[in-house]
This record gives sequence, C-alpha cells and structure tokens, in this order.
Amino acid sequence: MKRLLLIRAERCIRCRACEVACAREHGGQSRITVVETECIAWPVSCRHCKVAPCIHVCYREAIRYDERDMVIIDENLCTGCGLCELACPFGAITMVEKQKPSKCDGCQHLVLDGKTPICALTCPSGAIVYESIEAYEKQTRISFFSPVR
Amino acid sequence: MKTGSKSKVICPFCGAGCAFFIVTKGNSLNIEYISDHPVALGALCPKGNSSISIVKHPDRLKHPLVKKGNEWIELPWNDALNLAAEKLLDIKKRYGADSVGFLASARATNEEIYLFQKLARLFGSPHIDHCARLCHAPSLVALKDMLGSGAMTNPISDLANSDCIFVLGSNFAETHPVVSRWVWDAKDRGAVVIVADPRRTITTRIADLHLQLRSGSDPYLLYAMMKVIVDRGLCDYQFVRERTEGFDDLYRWLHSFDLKEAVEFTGLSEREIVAAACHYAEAYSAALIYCMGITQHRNGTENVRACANLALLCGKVGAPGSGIFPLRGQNNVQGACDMGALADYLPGYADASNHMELKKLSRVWEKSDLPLGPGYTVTEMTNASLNGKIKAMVILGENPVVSDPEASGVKKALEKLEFLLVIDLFMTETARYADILLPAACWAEKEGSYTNTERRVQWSEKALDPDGDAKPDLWIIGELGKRLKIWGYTPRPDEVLREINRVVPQYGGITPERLRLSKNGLIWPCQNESHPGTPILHQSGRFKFHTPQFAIEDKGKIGKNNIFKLITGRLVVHYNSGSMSRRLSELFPYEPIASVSINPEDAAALGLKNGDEVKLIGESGEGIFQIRLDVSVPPKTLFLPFHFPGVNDVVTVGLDTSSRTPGFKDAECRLEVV
Amino acid sequence: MKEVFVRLDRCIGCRSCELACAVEHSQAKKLELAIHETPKPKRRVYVEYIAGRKIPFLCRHCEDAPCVKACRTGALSQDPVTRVVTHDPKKCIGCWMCAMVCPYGVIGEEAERRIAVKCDRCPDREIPACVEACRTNALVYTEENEFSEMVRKEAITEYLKGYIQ
Repeated sequence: MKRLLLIRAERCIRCRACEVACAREHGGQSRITVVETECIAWPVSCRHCKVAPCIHVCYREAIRYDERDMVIIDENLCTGCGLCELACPFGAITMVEKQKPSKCDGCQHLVLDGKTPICALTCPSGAIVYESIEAYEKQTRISFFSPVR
Repeated sequence: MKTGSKSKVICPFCGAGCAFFIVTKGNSLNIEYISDHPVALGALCPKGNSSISIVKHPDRLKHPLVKKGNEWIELPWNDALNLAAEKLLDIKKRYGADSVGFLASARATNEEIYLFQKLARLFGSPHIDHCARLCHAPSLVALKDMLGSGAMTNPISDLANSDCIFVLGSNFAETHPVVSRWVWDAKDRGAVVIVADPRRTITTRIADLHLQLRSGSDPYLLYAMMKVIVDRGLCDYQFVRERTEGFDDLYRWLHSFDLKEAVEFTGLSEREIVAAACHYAEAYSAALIYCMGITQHRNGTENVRACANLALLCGKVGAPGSGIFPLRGQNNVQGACDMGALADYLPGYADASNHMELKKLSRVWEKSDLPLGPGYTVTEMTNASLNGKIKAMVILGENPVVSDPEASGVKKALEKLEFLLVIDLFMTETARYADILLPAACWAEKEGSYTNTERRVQWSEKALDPDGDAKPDLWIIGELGKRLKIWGYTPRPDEVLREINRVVPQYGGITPERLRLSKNGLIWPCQNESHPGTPILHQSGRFKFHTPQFAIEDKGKIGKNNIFKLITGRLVVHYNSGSMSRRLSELFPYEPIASVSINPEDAAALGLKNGDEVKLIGESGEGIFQIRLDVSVPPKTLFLPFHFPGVNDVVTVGLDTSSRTPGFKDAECRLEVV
Repeated sequence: MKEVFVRLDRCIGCRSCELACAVEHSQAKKLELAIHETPKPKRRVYVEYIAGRKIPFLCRHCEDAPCVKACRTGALSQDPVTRVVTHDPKKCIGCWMCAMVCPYGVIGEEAERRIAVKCDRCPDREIPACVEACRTNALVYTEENEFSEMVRKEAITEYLKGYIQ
C-alpha cells in the first residue's frame, strides 16, 4: 500500500514545528498551515488527492503524479494562471508570485528516511503521519477499543 | 569539521534532550532528523527546528568587549581575560573571596559547568548558583529527601506505558511538545489522562478529566485525593509496608484533614476529586507529571512532597509506566544540578555545608579550605549586592534581568556591583550591565555532554567553528582560572569529564569513550564502566513519607480593587528569557510581544477590547501590556508569558523556605486601564 | 430504521463477514471467481484482535456523520430517510478527509482507483452480506428497540437460570 501524508488532528498541539520545518526546507515559504479553532487544530497542506481537482483544471498539464503518487507542480510548465489555487477544495495552493505556485510537494528533494516528508518527520506529537490508509485506519480501530478502560 | 559533514548535536533549548544532525554544506547548515532517537523519535518542536539559525545570527557577539563610559570597546582575548582576572583578584583582596557571586549557565555542557563551579569554589566563594533555583530546586530538595534522588524517575517514552497519567501544574504540550506523543500513545492504549490546571491550556485538551482548580490549591487537591484513597482502602499496602517509612504519621495527619474544607478551597467538586483519586490509585501503572505550577510557589517544596506522598501511597514508583516526572526546563539544567553549580550542593548532591564532603572534595581538587556552604542563591545574590555584601559577579549565560522576579531590583543590584563579568552569545538584557562581556561559542561550535530531564547524558559534537573570536565556555573558564592563579592550564572536555567520573558518583561510568560510542547516551546513575545505566529509578530501596506542613496564605485581596491573580508561563514558540527565540525570525512573528490574557468577562466589566493597553502594577514594579481576550483564563486571573523583558518587573513574590525558590505563581497585581 | 448491531461477546474472529462483504462487492459475486478479479474486491468490515477480544468494526452510518461533513465534493451523503451514508465513487477525489475524521476507522482504499470504499449497507440485498455470513449471530440486523429488547430478554434469561435450577 502506498504511503500518504495523513493527519491525526486530535494530537495537533499547534506548536507549528511543521510550518517552521517546511519553511526551512522550501526557501522560507511554508506550504503547511496550522488552522486553529477553539477545540481543535489541523495542519492543512495539500492532500495529494488521488483524483486531484488541480490536475484536472491545469490546461498546461503542469501538475502530475510522481512515483510516490504525490501531486507535483512543474514550475517550468506553469503559466501562473492561478486556476489550481481556485480549484483546490482545501486552499492548499497559494500563488506566491506569478508562475510560482506554493504547494506541498511531499518533500521531493529528500532522499533519506524513505522520502518521508519533513512535516511528518518533525511533528512532536505524531499528529502528521506518513503511512498507508490501511495502517492509519487500523490504528484508529485499535485505539478505539483500548483495553485499559 | 569538514564541510559536507554531519554532526550529532543535542538541541540547545529545553530539557527534553532531542538529538539531531547538523549537516554543513559550504556556509549553509541544515537539519537531519534521527528517527529512532528514544526521546522523541527524531521529532523536533519549532524551537529545535529553528535552532540552527542561532549559529550565524548577526547579533552574535564576536569579540571581547569592555565598557568604557557608555560605549563598548573591543579588546583582544588576552587583555580582556587579564583585566577580568585583575578586577576579580582586586575585589577578593579588598572584600574577600565571598564577596564574588557566580551564576552558572543551565545550557553549557556538563564539563563547562563543572569547571565553572570548581573555579568559584577554588576562588574561595561559596556563592555559586544557577536558574534551577527559579524552577525545580523544590524538586531537588523534596525528592532527594523522600526518594533519595531529586530527578525524574522514568524516561519520557515510558509515559506510553502508563495506564493513568496525572498532570499537575504542567502545560507540557506547550513547554515540552515532544512529551505529547507519548501521552497520546498511552491514551490510545486506553490510559486515563487527568490534568490539574487553573487555566484551560493546549494540554488540558488531551485530558479525560480537567481539574480546573484554584491557583495554588494543589496541596489541598493532593491531600484530598490521598484521604479518599486511604478511606477507600485503595493504597498499595504491600508497597507501603515493604518499601516506605513514616506512613503512620501521614495516616494520622490525613485522619484529621478536613476533606470538605479542602474540596471547597480547591473550587472543585468532590466527585471530580474522588474520580481522579480512584483512577490514579487503581491504575496498574500511573505517572505523575508536574512542573512550574507545583514548584513555583512559596509552598513549592511542600507541593512536591505532596506529589511524592501520593505516588508512594499508591506504590506508583519504580516500575515501567509508574513514576514521578518533574519536567526540567533547560537542555542541561539537570547536568548543572548534578555538577553542583548550586549554593547548597557540591557535585553529586553532596551537602555544601558538610565538612566531611568538603574534605573529600579538597582531596580530589588538591586544595584545602574550600568555602563552607550554603552560599547565596540566585535571588539572594542580587539582594546581597544591594546590601553591599556582594561586590562582583560572574554571570555565565544567564539572564536574571528577564528571568528573576522583581527585575527592577535586579537591575539596581547589577548596577551597584563594582565589577560584572558576563559571558554570553548575545547582548542580552543582563549583558548590557556588564563591565566586561566575553563572546561565547554556541552549542554547535563546541563539544561536550548534556544531561536531559531523563538523566540521559548525551555527547554533543562540534559541527563548525565559531565566526569571529567567540570561544567555548570551557576555554574561557580555563583561561580565567589560569589568570586567577587557580590552575595552571585549560583542560579539554574529555579530561574534565574524566574528573567528573571520579567526583560525581552518579557519573562514575559515563566516560568520554562510552558516551561517544553509545547510540543514545547513558542514563545515570551509572557508577562504573560496566554499568549499563539506570532508565527507571527506585526499583528497589525504601522511601520516606513526609508529614505535611503547609499553610496557604490567602490575603483575600483578589477580586477587589482590580487585583488579579497573575500567572506567568510559557509559549511554545519562545524559550525562557527569549534571548534566542526573540531573535529568530522563524519563531517570534508568531508571538512578537507579551500580551496579557484576560477573561472576556473581566475585560467587558472594565470596558476593554482586544489589543487595548493596560498597566499591571506589582508590589515593586509595573509594566504596560496589550491585552488579549481569552476564554481559557479563569475569572480574576491574568496570564503573561515570561519570555519578554518587563514581565518579571511586575512579579514580586516571597521565597520558598526550603529551596529558596521564588513563588512566581503566587503573584498578584493590580490592573489599571491606560 | 434497521441498523447492524454487534454483539461483542459472540464474535469468534472467523472473518466470514469480511469475506462475504468483499465477495458481495465483487463483480462475479462468487468467492471462487472474486479472488481472481482485478481490481481486487475490498472488504468494508474489519475484524480486529484487541487485547484478546475479537471486535468487528462496521460503518455505523452515524447521525451527523463526520465523514459527510468533511467531504468537500459531496461524494459522501446521507439518505434523508434510511439514514444510510453512501459513497459515490464518481465524485470521490481521494483526499482522505473522511478516513481521517472517521472515529471508527472504517474507510478503506479501493485497489485500483485508490479512492475511498465504505460500507453501503448492501442496497441490493434484504439482509447485509456480513450479517448473513455471521455464524454466531454476533452481527444482528434489526431496529434499535428490537435489539434492546432482545438483549434485555437474554440478560433476564441468564439471570433467571440461577433461580430455575
């Protein structure tokens, strides 16, 4: 099963280590934002949708899947039209400058740690995980029926 | 170090002791995570993630500076050190060695701190202390007395093995973010998490039961719980019988303890207290995490004793998942205590007022007539300066102008000194008062060992050379010692660690070779070279109950005349006195100023909106702050983050008698609309 | 409305429900053919072994379902009458918000398209496949009040056994 960047939002302590680490890895601009409400916080970044609206909408085919099934924008082909920013249901794409869409790229450049994205590597509470849906859901089920209680 | 290389370092911030690699490539630095590191599985909080930006920060001091009038003049090292030594020797001649106070850093390496306290004592002064005095000195005193050791009893990751986690006075999700993972892992296994905190914090979100008690009423909560446990027969009688002493006195005291009155004082319901007590006592394994909310009171030591009493009563010590977890604040404050940079302890927690212990140390240091302790503590040193008893101070990497209570008094005290030598990375608020300011190398620019809150001693490698002329503290202390005629040469870290092996029994087997080869350091006590270290303490031995002696002073002023309870605490993106975090552009934009959090109802009653300015007036100081409406702050209470200068100006508090720790959390202030 | 109730004391962990669910959602609807199919049919029931107990997890078709609220495209929706939460693969973009908010962890991944799969309460059957397959009647398909009544009756019967002897 392919691994995905998934969130366990109840664990998010809005420390913003993910934002700091992502910014460091991507020249000062973080592609992940912690959105905080009164009772929960959620680190929002590209969901690397399997049927991505941004890919669908990009008439230049500048957005494609890489070998990890992560959604990657090719800046060389990008015209800066901003349609992907509009299409994304999660607001995960920001047109920082013309022709420079800022979006999580799953830390393509990392070669170590099995290319685990930096947010998942650094999250102190384990709110951001890089695992398959099957592993994630299995963990949810097991935690649901915890024995001690 | 070659460029394009990797060096394993310990994070320079909190006491969690996370490790990571600094990767150097040309002039740039990057971080590589160590995903199997036991403390946090490689994770780093936002401070750890920004730490490499400290190394080449433009504010870094690069040359020794001497103050001439209002200006700083650069001086070569030899001249600066000679001048400093000259001044100190002069003051020693005119007023005696005990007129000089030494403040050690809780973030230098073990070797540096050890050499610094050795310098102070060989110089002839008993006045050596550091900022543990402001935070966990009550833990040192109380836990050492009752359990034999003043440190955290189990590793952080062991929290995942607990079936009940009881948190008092700690906002660990904010202060030690990496602890959250293990608490969540325990919760996923079914553990019950109980958090006692007067505020709603990011940590209380994890709680199954949030005991929102009145600030400072912790001992009433704890003894109420103990009374419930005893009355319902939920004590671990076997443990009490076989492993403790003094139960009978505690039992008698609990018998006459008025439960109803205590429950009322805490502001909680009896049902909540009974629930907490039963969960903790009946759990197979239970952890008790505590921090500043327990220690920073005039009853700080009594509060810690109450925590230990509860743990002993229920037998929740000395097994996986069962332990007492005082979370230490700085990356080497545990080491600084172990190395004896304390007014009342010699290295290895020998009593500084004990002649036999001093004699033993004299033999190793080959000098008789070591000064008899206890010396002045951090706050007593500044008071002593105002009283003319302390004429000079040597401050290594501490920032009392920001960290100490009654900061205005601290400023006057430093101004009054005849000579002040400060060694630091930056021109901090305290460094401004120095007569001589020496530039120190930061943690990435030197090697040495650090001891985290788990008692884990880890070796931190040197990643690169410092820019400019900054030097490691070890070199500075060594060279100063030469010129003070205390010793003949400046030792290297390995040599100092070997002496530590001989002097500090807990570090007996923590040799430089073993540390360098070990993957994850060694956990003391580690008495000899074949000892593997001791992750879980107190698996055997007998412990002492303590018969409570506390009285809570409730002056009854809160609520009248706009007098508010003032709680100072931490923010996740900042670190202690903020000298590093307020300079990092990755961090301070999240929280650029000290805003005072106030309950919206209180604000409405005063006609205040978000962002309005108010004046907070303490007994001996005041300050103007912007307000922030916050429902998580209880009524008639204010919260201020202490990472900013000016906050502690408002805080005037008494000291805990046993540990001489200021009762920061007892602070009150008057609020005036500006 | 009928729900699928789980009687934990009766589950023996045989996983017949899982098998039946996958077969029901295959093209051939026969076990011997389904196992050779591509894409591989996926179960929507999960039997977990937790601390010595066997616990089947099925979609609860929650009121105020978190997955429906989290779904940005409307692929997940709740029938106003039957209260069954259905998933429309045509609208699914595979963002996995549903999987992250589901408290029971019962959202799965389709083998080929890699979008979500979830229990649909077997709309083509009288009784859901998992319930029919369950050998011990650990899975019960009935209305809430009938289930409570059944549990009460069983409890009293056990209780009275002591007296009848």
